[in-house]
Amino acid sequence: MSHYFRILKPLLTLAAALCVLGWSPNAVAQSFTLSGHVQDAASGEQLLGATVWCSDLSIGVAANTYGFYSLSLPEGEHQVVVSYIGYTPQRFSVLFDQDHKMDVELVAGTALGEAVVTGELFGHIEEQVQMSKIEVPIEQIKRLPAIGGEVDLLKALQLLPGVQSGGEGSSGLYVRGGSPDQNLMLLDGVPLYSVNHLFGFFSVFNADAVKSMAITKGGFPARFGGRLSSILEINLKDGHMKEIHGDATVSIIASKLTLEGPIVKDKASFMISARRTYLDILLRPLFARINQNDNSSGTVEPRYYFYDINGKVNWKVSDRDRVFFSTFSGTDDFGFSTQDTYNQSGGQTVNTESDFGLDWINSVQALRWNHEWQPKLFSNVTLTRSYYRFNTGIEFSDAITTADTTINERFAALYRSGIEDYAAQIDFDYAPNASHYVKFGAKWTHHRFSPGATQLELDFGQPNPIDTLLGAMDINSNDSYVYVEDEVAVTSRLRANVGLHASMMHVQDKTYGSLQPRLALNYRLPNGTALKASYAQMAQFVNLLTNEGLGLPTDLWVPSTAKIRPQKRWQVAVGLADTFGEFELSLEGYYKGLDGLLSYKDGASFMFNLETDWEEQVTQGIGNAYGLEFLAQKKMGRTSGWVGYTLSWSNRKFDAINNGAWYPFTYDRRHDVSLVVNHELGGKWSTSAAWVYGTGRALTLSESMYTTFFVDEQGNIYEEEITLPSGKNAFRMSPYHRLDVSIVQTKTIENMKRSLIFSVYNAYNNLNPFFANLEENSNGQPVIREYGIFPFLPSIAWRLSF
Amino acid sequence: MKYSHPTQALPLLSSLPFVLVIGLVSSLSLTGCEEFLEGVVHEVEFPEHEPALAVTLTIDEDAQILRLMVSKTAGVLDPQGSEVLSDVFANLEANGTSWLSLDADDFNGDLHSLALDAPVHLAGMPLRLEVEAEGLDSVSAESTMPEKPVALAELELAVDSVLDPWWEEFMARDRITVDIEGQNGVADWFILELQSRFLDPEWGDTATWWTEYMEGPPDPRVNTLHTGEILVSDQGLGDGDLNQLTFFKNNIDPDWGYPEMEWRLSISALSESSANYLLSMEAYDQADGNPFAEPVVVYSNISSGFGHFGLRNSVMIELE
Repeated sequence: MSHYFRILKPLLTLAAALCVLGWSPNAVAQSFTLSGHVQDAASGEQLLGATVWCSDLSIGVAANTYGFYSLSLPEGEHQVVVSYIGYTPQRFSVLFDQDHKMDVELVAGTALGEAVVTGELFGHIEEQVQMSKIEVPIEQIKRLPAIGGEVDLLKALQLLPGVQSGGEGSSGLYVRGGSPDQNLMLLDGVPLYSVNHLFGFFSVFNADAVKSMAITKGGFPARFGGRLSSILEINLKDGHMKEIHGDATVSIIASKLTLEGPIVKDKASFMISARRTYLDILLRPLFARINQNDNSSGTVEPRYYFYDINGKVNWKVSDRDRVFFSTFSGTDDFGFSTQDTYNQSGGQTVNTESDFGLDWINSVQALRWNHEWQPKLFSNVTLTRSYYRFNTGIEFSDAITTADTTINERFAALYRSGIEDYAAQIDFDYAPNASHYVKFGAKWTHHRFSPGATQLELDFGQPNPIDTLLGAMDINSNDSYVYVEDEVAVTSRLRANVGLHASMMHVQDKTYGSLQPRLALNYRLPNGTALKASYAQMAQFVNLLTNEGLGLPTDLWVPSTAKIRPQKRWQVAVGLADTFGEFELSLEGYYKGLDGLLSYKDGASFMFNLETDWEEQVTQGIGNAYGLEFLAQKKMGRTSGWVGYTLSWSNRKFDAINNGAWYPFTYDRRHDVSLVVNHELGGKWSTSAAWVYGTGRALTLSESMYTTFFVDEQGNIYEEEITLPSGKNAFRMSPYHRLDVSIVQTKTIENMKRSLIFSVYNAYNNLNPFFANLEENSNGQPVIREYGIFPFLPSIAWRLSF
Repeated sequence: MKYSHPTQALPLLSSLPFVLVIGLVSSLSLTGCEEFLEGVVHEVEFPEHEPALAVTLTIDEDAQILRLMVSKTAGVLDPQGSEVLSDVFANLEANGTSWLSLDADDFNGDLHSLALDAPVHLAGMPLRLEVEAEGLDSVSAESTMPEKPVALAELELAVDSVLDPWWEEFMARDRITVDIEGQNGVADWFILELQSRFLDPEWGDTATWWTEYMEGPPDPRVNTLHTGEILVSDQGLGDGDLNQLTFFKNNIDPDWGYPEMEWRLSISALSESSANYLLSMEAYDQADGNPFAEPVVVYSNISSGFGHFGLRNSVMIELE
C-alpha cells in the first residue's frame, strides 16, 4: 500500500496545485464558458481536433477526441471562429456574460470567396504546444497510390519523417529507432496487438471506416502511457446521423463495403465496414488444373484469405450524454493441404494427408460513455476488450490398408500464442479558465498472456496415444495508471503542457511502479515562429519477442515478469515550427535513451525450443536513438502533400548479444526521404505520387570460419568448423527507393460518385531488397545477393460512394 | 481546337487513354515480371576475406596433456574451408615468465599436443598465450587460472519418481545436491559434469566413464548445456557461496533392481572468458540448422584473431 502511495503522492500534489490554479478566485470571478460539440453539418460526424479560437484575445482550444470543446473567456463580447481542415470556418460574436452551450456544424469544403485570415485560425502547427505529432487527412491518404489498389493507412504513415517501414511491403512501424511493440496502436482508444494482414503487407485498418489518424512520436502528454516510441490514434467514423451512405470498393486484392446511417435520425447512427481478399478464390481453378494435369505426387490445395469487419454504434442519449460501441474483428488464414494415394509392396495401399496452417485473429471492442457534467467538465468512461491469438499447426496422417487391416497413424503439432486484455478507463477534461486546460484520469487493465505453447499429438498405433501440452503457461498481470496534465498559458508567448503519469504493474507477486514526468513548451518568437521543446519519460510493461527482420505473426507478446524488468525510455526533443502560407514547416531534433529492451539471445528463436521457458531465451539491454527530422506539409488546396527528411541513428547493447558490444539496430537508417504529392488536375481527374528513399537495412551475415575442437569424456577429439559474422548488423542492404503513382477518374451521377483508380506501385521498377544472402557470383567472388519481391505492380480499383 | 490547360483535353481522350494505359501497363508489367522471376535485385561486393589465426586452447591445472589447435580462417564461401596449421609457434607465459612452448614438432596430425610430466600449480596466476604462424599476424590472449573449487556433493538414490510419457513406465529419480564455496567480490563460474560407470561387467563396460544428464528445477544460477554439463554461476545474484544446487537424474525402474555403479562429479572452476565461450558455443550449437534463430557471434578472447584461450581448475568428487 505504501508503494502505491509513494507513486501517487507527487501526482496528487500536482493535481492539487492545478486545482488551486484552476479555482483561483480571480479566474472564477471573471470568466464564462462556451462549450459544445463541433460536427459535420451534413453527417453529424464529430470533428475531433476542430479549433475554437477567440480572435480578439488570440486564445483557443481544440475539440477533444469526441468533438467536445470548452472555451472559458473573460466577461465581455468576443469574436469566436470555429474551423477544421477542409471545412468552411464559422464566425460568431458571443457575449460572455454567462455560460453558453453551442454545438457548431461546419460545412465540408471551403466556400469560394471565404477568405480566412490565417491569424484567425488556431491549430496551426506553431500554435500547438504538442510537438512531434503529425495528422494526415484521411481523404489525402485515400488518394495515395497503393499495392493492388488497397489503400493502407500504416504505409501512408511510413512516408512521414521519423517513421520507417520494416522492409519491402511491410506495414510495420519503426518510430524514431524504436521497435514495433513500442507503438501504442489505438483503434477507437483500444490497443491493438497485431496490425498486420498478409504477413505484414497490409494493415488491419480499413481506410473507408476511419475518420481520423494521428501519430505522436515524442513529447507525449501525460494521458498517454504504456509504450515507448509512439502513439497512433485511429478513430472510426461515428456513422451518418441524417441519411444512409455507403462506399463500395473493388480492387484486384480485395473488395470492401461500408455502410453508415441513422438508426434514429439525429439521435443514433451506425457504421459497418467489411473487407475480404479473394486470392484463394481466384487461385482455386488454377490449382485444380495443376492437380488435374499432374497428380503424380498427389494433390496440393493452398489457401489464403483475410477479412476484417469494423462496426460502430453512436447514440446521443441526451444533450449531455453520448454512448458509443465500436468493434473490430480480423482474421488471416494461410495454409495448404496435400493428399496422395499410392500402392506399395505387399499389396498395401497408403493414403497420406497433410495439412499446414497458420492463422491469426484480432478482435477489439469498446463501450464508452461521454458525459458533460458542466460546461467546464467533460468525462469519458470506457470499457474495452482486446484479443489477439496466433495459431500454427501441422498435421500428418496416413492410413495403410491391406487385404484385412487398416493401420492409422497420425502426428499433429499445434503451436499457439496470444494475449487478451480487459480494461476500464475514465478520463476528464476540465477547462477552469482561459489559461488552463486540465486533463486527468485513470486506467486499469487486466492482461492474460499466452506466450507460446505446443500441443503435441502422436498416434502410431501404440496402446496409449500421446496428447500433451508443452511450453509456457499463461501469465496474468494487472497494470494501472493515473495521470494529470495541464495545458497552461504561462505568458502571452509561452505555453506549456505539464503533466505526470504514474503507472504500476503487478505480475507474479511483483509490483513495478513508474513515475513519468512530462513537459512540453511552446515559445513564440517575435516573428511568430514557435520554438518547441519537450521531455517525456515512458515505461512499458508488455513486450513483443521477435526474430529481427522476420516480422512474422509468430512474434510473442510477453509481459514484464519477476525476472524481466519493464522497458523504460526518456526522450528530449527541441524544434522549430511555423506556417508559411499554406505550408506547415517543422524541424525537430531528438535524443532518447532506452532501458530494459527485450530481445532473443544470440541463437535463440521461438522454434525448436518446446521445453525451454521463453524467459531463458531472452536478454535485456539498453539502447539509444537520436536524429533530426524535417517536414514541410500542405494539407489543403489543389496541390497538397508533404516533403520529409530524417537523419537518424539507433543503437542497441545487450550483454548476451554481440559479446556485449554496441551494435546498430536492424532498422538504424541514416537517411530517409519522402515526397508525397496529391494534385487535382481539373475536371474528373486527380493524381498523386509518392517517392521514398532510405538507407539500406542493417544485416548480420556469416563472414568467416575457423576450426576448433572438443574432447568427450572418453578423451575422443572431434573437430568442429565454426562460421561466424564479423559483428551484429555489420552489413547494409542496398538503399531502398521507390516511386508510386496513381491517377483517379471521378464521375458524379446524381448522388453517386464513381471513381476509377489506376495505381502503379514501384513505377520505375526498382526491385528493392527483401532479403539477402551471402553467395558466390558467376566469377566465384563472394557477393551479398539481394532478392526482391515487388517489381512494377499496376493495379486498378473501382469505387462507388453514395 | 485549343485548350487553355492540358488537363482539359483529358475527357476527350476517354476512348484512347484506356488503350494507352493498358498498353503501357502491360509492357512495364512484362519487364517487371521478367525481373521478378529472376528475383535478384543487386549483388553487393563482399569484402575479400583476410585470413587470420584462430586458436583453441583450454588448460586444466590437473591435465596431463595440453592440446592446442591453430587454424587459418577462411571466407565462409571458401570450399576448402579453414585450415588446421601445423607450422606454428605457441608460447605460454605464467606469471610473466616463459612456461612452455609448442611448435611443429608437437603436431600429431590433428592438433598440437604436449604431455605435462608433473602437475603444475597455476591457481591465481595470470597466463599469457602468444601464437605465431608464417604469413599471418600473431595473436595473443591472457587469462587468470581460477582457484581449485571447494565443494561438497551428495547423491541420493530414488528420492522421487517420474512417469516416462513415451513408455508410460515409472522411472526412479536420483537427487544430487551440491554446495560450492564462492569468492567474495567476484563472479564465480563452475562447470559440473556427472559421470558414471558400471562396476558389474554384466551390465556394461566397466572401464569407461559416461556423462550422465542431470536436470534441475528452475534456478537462475544454473545453465544446462546440451552436452550434459551444467554451468553454474552467481553472476548478478550477489556474492557468496553457491549452496544447495539441486539436480535430478533419471534412473531405471527400481523394481528392476539397480546395477552396481560408481558415480563421480567433476567440478571445474572457470575463468569468465571460458564461461562466455561455453555459453556462446551452446547458443551456436542450438541455433545450428534453425532458419529462425538469431545469428550467433561466438565469443573470442583472442586479440587480432578468433577462438578461445580458456583456463579451468577441477576437482573430482566421488559420490557414495
